[in-house]
Amino acid sequence: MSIWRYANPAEFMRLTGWIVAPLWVAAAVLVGVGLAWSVSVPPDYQQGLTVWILFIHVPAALLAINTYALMALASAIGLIRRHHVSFLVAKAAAPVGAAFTLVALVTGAVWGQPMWGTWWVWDARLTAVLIMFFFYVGYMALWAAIEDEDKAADLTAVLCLVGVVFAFLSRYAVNFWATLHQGASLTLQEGQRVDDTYRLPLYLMMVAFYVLFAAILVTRARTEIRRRRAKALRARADRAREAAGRDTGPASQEAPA
Amino acid sequence: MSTLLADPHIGYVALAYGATVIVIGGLVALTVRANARARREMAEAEREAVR
Repeated sequence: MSIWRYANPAEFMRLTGWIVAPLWVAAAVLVGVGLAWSVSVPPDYQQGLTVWILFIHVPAALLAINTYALMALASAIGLIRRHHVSFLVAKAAAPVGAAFTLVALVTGAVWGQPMWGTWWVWDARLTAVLIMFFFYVGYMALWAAIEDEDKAADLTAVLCLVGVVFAFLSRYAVNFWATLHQGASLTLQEGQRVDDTYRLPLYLMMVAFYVLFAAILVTRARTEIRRRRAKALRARADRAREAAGRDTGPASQEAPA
Repeated sequence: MSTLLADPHIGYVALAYGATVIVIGGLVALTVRANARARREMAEAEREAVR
């Protein structure tokens, strides 16, 4: 059985039909438990209560970058294999990625003010994330600006692929340049990495954000498929009415004579 | 509780969590509303097509 059969909108609707509600329930439970755990950990000895902000900032930043990677992959598949569902998934993911990027930028700034002494610095990672956010906004604006949906799908896919460099830099800028933003703190060796008191609720919040992302993404993709189906049905009905009008037109003109 | 409220950073925490609730809550609300509208539109279009 080929994975590509799910690129068929009807198959996609059938497959995702039964997972939407459980995804939303799981997201609500995980986010609720994750938040409750996050705001019950003791203040950090250096960061104080601002450590709580990281339980939102880190998962949001992770999703901001990974959503862009997903969009790029879906766009590339759409361009190469001409699967409409790939374009629709990329389109559905864009507002979600933009929202998580905005959350990462805002929570990062709010954490940065008390910890770094500034809301913002033009450091490589922060700048790359800001540019990636602009790519998200530009991508959505381009979809909205082009009426022909096939043409919009192609052009937005190209734009998305151009922006991949900033998603890559958002992730790896801390490895290439000396930045104010710290490097990886979760993948370090034991003894150097974040203590379990903070690490475990952070992992839970990451899982919670991923499940929430999946719930929103699947719902938005299904919305887009329904919207297109409604549009196609209306166009078909309009064509049928026009054809019926042509058939009855001359007869109705002849009748009075 | 009073110790938490006395923390000098509580305002920053409230700002970060508040902004997140607004952005993500807004996204979820828009998603659910758009889905309900698309569902309604498709049902109407299907009824129209049958007629």
